Amino acid sequence: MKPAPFIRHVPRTLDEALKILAAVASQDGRVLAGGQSLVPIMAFRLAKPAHLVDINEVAGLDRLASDGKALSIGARVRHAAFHKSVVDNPLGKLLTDVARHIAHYPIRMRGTFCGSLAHADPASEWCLVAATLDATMVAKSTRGERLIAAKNYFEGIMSTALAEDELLCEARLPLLAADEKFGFNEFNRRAGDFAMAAALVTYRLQGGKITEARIGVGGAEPSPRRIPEAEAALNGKAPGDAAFRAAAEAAAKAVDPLEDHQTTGEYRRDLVRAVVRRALEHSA
Amino acid sequence: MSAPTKGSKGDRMTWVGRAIRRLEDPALVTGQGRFTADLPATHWVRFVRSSVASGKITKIETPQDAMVVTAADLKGVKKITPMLHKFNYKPVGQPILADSQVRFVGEPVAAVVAASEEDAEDIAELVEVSIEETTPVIDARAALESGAPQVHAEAPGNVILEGKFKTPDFDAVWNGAHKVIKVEARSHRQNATPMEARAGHAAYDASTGRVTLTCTTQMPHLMRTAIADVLAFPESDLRVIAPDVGGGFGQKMSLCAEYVVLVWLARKLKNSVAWTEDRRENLIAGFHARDQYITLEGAFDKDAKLIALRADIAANIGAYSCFPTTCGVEPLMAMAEMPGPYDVRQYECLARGVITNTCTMAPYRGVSRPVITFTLERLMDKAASAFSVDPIDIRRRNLIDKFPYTSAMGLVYDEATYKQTLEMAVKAIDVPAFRARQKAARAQGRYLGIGFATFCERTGYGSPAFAARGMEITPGWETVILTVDPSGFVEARIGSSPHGQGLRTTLAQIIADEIGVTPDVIKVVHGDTDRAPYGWGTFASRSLVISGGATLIAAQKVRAKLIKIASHLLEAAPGDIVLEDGQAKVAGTDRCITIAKMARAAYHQTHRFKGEIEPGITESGTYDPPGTFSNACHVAIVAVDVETGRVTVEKFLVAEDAGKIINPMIADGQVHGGIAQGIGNALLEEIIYDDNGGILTANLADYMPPTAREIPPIELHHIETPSTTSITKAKGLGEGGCIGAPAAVVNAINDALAPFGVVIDEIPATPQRMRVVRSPVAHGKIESIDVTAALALPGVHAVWTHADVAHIPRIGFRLTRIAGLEPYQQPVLAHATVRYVGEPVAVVFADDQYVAEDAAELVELAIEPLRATLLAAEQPGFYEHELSTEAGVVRKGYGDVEAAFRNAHAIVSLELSIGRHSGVPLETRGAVARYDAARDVLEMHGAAKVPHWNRDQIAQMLGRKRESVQLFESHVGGGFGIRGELYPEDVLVCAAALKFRRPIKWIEDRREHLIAANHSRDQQHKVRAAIDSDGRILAIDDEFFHDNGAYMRTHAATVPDLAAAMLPGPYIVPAYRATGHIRLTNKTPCGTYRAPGRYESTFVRERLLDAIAAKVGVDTVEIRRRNLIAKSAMPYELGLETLGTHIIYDSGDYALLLDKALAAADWENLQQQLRQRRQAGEMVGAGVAMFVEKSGLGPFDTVRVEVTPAGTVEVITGVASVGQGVETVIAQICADALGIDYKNIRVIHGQTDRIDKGMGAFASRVTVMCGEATRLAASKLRDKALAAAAELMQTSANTLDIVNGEIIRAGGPGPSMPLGELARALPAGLSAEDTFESAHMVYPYGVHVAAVRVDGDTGAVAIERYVIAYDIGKAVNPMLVEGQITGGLAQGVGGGAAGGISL
Repeated sequence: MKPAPFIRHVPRTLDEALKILAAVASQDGRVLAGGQSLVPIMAFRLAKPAHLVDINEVAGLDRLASDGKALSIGARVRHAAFHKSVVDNPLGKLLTDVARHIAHYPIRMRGTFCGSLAHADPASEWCLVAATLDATMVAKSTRGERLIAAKNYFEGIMSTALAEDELLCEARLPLLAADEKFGFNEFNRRAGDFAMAAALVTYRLQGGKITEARIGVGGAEPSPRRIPEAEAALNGKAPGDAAFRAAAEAAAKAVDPLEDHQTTGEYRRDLVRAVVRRALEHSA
Repeated sequence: MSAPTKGSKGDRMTWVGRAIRRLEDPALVTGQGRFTADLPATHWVRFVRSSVASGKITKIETPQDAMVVTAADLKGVKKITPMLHKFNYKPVGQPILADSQVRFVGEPVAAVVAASEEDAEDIAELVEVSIEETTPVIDARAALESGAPQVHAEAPGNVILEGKFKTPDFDAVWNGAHKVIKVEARSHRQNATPMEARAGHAAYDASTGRVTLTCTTQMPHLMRTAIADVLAFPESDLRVIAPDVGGGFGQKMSLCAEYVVLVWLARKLKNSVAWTEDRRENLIAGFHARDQYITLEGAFDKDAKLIALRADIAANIGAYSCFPTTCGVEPLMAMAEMPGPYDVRQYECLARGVITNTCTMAPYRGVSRPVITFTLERLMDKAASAFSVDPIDIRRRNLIDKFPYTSAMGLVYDEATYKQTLEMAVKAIDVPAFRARQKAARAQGRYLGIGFATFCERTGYGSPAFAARGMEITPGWETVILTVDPSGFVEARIGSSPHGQGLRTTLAQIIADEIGVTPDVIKVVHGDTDRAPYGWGTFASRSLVISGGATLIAAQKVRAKLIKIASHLLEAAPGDIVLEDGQAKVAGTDRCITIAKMARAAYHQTHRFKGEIEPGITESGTYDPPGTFSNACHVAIVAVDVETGRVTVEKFLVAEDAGKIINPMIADGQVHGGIAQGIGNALLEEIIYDDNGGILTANLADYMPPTAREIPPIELHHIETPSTTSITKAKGLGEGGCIGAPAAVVNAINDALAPFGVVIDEIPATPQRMRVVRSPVAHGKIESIDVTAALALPGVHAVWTHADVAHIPRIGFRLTRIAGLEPYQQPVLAHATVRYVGEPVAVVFADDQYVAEDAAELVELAIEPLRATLLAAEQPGFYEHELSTEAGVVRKGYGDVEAAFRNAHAIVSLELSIGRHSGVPLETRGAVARYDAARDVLEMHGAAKVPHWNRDQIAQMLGRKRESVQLFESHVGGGFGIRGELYPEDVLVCAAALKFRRPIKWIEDRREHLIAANHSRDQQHKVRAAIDSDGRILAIDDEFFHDNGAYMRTHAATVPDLAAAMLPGPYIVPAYRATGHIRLTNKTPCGTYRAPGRYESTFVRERLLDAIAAKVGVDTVEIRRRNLIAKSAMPYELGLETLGTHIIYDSGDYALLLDKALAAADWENLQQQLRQRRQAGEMVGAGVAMFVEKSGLGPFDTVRVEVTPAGTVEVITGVASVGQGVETVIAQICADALGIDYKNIRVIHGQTDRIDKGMGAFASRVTVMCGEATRLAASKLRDKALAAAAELMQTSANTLDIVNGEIIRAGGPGPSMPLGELARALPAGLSAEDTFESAHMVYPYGVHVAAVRVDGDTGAVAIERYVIAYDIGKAVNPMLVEGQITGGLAQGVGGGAAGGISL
């Protein structure tokens, strides 16, 4: 279980990194950040990049800051950064709640937020966060900078809108309203395993009724996404069992679930129903 | 042996029994452990493995300049061929590298040698192995099917060993059982997954020519013996070292081919060569375990005491047999220990080892016992449920409590505490408190369960126990050499090879007590064939018992010698010497000498002993015990999340008796680790193969051992019953945790899900396997039915639910000699529980059908889903708890089947499945009912073909007299059995007409019809035939499962009854047995469908004939000729009965009809054409099917023939007509009998007011029964008419005749009288009625020949040719007969006169 031969480049600046990436991208070059997904698949030789552009020494990519509207998360920010709240906003607590579901402690110490988005595993918690909150991805290359909205970013299982010479430098998560409620739930068979279904929900209350509902589902389809049918079922309703069940049912109906040797689509649909309802219960 | 221990140890605390810290841990926890992979090497090896499960290697291409070893290089290297001398074992050899044939994905094909691991892996990627793939067989049951691919030519039928056992009185006791409970258990495949995967390092020593193999093994001495054997060089030229070993659990006790390659390479390269396995390799090609099917049946007496046990074990042993235990290790262990801790005197077992194209199986912690304990404990819980006793109580009634106990298999159980540990666990877990908590949780929608597992664990068994299995290599004894060296330190060299068990500590504790030193001065040396005495290694919970016993013997000898030395040196009597604190002391004095000084003297000053004491202090002990049984009770408490299927083990409690505990901390650690693995086995771990033999679980994300988060707190309680068969009094316990946990956890899951009726007998019990089916609701509790909205709709006058019809009894069913099924009749509207999708729950009455449908949508049903058992026939239905196992079984047979199978030349087995069908008549169901208040008569017009039966039923259910209910059968658009039923809907329509005094009409739509009208077929058969060498049948044994659906409807029992009775068909079957299990599941109820029973039995029998043909190598026609009943044997009494009649084939020439059919099909020519087309690549084939149909079912038919005043003739029958042409046939018969044109005859049927009794149109009976009654009645009428006419015409009756409806004088012209005129003339009119009764049926027969073409791309089957030959006796109307037969063919059967399908 040794990876195929590769050349590792260790740039110190973003410019240098983008130049190297531009040069090696067409020769099967890949960006190495935390390596928690890439290195295992290299060990299995499922990926055999000829070049690795290791960004761990690139200055400035560890930036994690809020401008009052959005939280910017640089390419070197590790999962573990979110063990504590990083911003004085409900978003900080949301990220803390989600972070503890990501794999295991050693992995969280090394893996990065942007790395998860770039890898785009359907079961990734951070991808679900990005999709549900309509994050903006900042992609850079020697050709310039590009902002990609989450709904245009995820293109399928481990597939994104990033070009091969583009580095995902930053992800921007909009801050939540001060009174915004949120809830998260995921199902897996062992602690730390990939989610077989996960849900993230946020909403606000106006006169006791739900508004601005966001319901995101991950792990169930090739990419995480918001489920408009479920959001519609929730908006305008008073929070409570009936509304939550209706939304969960709508989500379960709306998804086109993945299947694998352990999990039928029918079962995964049931899981979607369960995680959406539980995320909503968690929010209340 | 005299052991003066008493005085010397005194009353001071012993080391044995103390939880001292492990001596091996400081190095391990500070990173100082030394493992195989730590060794540097000059060359590294990467194995190229087969990516194909089965195939022929055609070419291996290797990169230039690379060193790649293949089978071609290994000339002279022997195969690994372990041997077993019993149980019909077929030795198969495993090549070190695959030579020409590959047999599983992961099999080593080539070894790449390079300077580093990375280089080796790079080069390995470039090696191209071309393999011509052949179809693999993966599953054990599939491998046992006839025609399955053969994995090894040496093991025909893929059976490598077959163990059989039966106690002499088994049958007698079995037959006297009160209840038989059955479990069909499945344990999926698992991998022991030690933390350290396999690794080997072979180094050549140029000075001696020896090779040192360092490898991660549990038995270094056996590796040395085996490798030297395979490579054919002296064992002394090989040294095997097992350094620190990171777990083994059995996976590391078998010889792996990879190590042989390393030693071969080291000798060839005269250098060092290393290989470290990666996790993927370990998961696909390290050894696997557990893959078994066990069918276990327990016969219980009326007190729930187990009196006989029958097991059928099929163990998938993978592609090869493992060395040294052989693949017998799993099936034979299962056979020997199946009865477990229960007192059962009668036992029958069939245990088979089945070869497949999967990774080779080897022992894994517990070896079979996790599976057999799981199966047996599921049986106990199921029996508890069937007897309505507590699971704890049924164990109390059955556990062994007298020792020593000799099992039915002859194993001797030493003193143990089966009942005490159970009681201890029950008390500690506080069952009443749990039940209260469980109840409260259920009320909140949380499902908790408790599960018990009691078991015994055979440990520390010596060579006699292994010899009983017939193993050529018989492990057993152990030797320990104990030395006090000149410095006074103590070294024990042992043959065992611990790899995590803490043996260095526990053996030191035993030695320390004997010779009065502290354990830390004692070194235990193991795992080096140069340093340690020959021994078997560490496995099977044996080391502490056997090596510990040998240690004690050696230590006692050393102790005796030290006392002798001390008595010389201290000049004291031996009896006065005490060994303690590292010294020998003279009791009661201050005289003493250190052991170090004594050791110096023993080696360096031997002159002081004047030749009375041998020099040095080295003693050896060898121990070979009979074996001992430890025991435990495990209790698991689980919470099941019914939405997601997640199982959380909340608590695990163990009450264990492992005899004397040497080190309680180590004992607890062993139990904890075992339970963690057991929980993984129960819930998570599964090696999954795809159909091509590829492994889908080749990493630790997909193959899921539990993490610490999945393991609950474990509470341990010990009882220490000193073993009388172990000199240390200790029993082994290494495997126990793993043995009991799966059973306890799965029993707890079943307990948790009992409200849903979920039954899971499979490990791992994954969420997917037990998830709750919620929608559509096949099985649920009706919580409320809200009809307010429906009632509010204009035009709706009523909505009924069960409360409105509670007074109406359930719909009756006709018993076909199967008692006990009455409780499963159907209510007309579901009450409290719904049991299938489509079950009527409420009924809306409205002005028109549109309003009714709108209103029905407004009825709000709240149904709490319960578990539906839609998934598989092997999952008994919701009724399981209520249904006595025997009540639902159809048994038929004759002759000595067992003897026939014993004496058979060969046995052919098949498993066949027949899907669920709907009859799909053109017209769906419907009924119109009207109450005529003036006459007080309820009239129903329905589409039934048994009008009289339905009339009587409705009258009875609604509490009315027969005469006040009349049923009119309209034209009926087909029935095919669907209409032989009284449906809840019919009764509801009638009840409503009575209640509302207005006509009520119901017409079913197609969807309703498909989900709610009777279904049919749905059987699984396991059939076996015993045959002689010519393929003549000696006996057939058929066991089948008839999935009846949710309720027993009118003819529910008819289908399995006929299926069992008609299976022998047109063939001579000297002995026969059929066992048909009627299962109740949450599906639409089943009824009859064209050719019920014959359809199924013909399919099974004719497939069986073809399988027999294949077995003996004759063609499909010849095999039938050899077995057909000859014409000369007619009439032929079959020895079976069905539907209350003995089966006697009336007449027939089966062979002649076969010849006719073949001639009509131009068989020889057809075969030749097919051969040519097959050569051209087409997939074409032809088949023959033969069958005997039964028809003319009695018991009677009554017919009245009337002449109307207008002169036409009416034939009034009790039958119905659903499209068969009844009117025509009956008219033809009547016409002949009466002498009038059939066109002037009107046949009336299906009108209960015109004739009072009748049977109906079903079971191909109309022509036979009604036809004969018509003939009788018509003849009577004719006689009556002639007599009356003779009187009127003043002549003698025998001068008259009836011609063209007129009475004329015979033989000449003269006055004639039309029949109408006669009728008018007679005051009472002219009519005659007669009844034909018959207790017999008749047996037409037929032959079908079909030729088909299969489109290889799409799988589409085209029937190219179909020929039918039949003999139905006299054909009343040939056109109608052919119509019946071709219609039947389109439905897949030769219905009206046939039951055969050609294959």
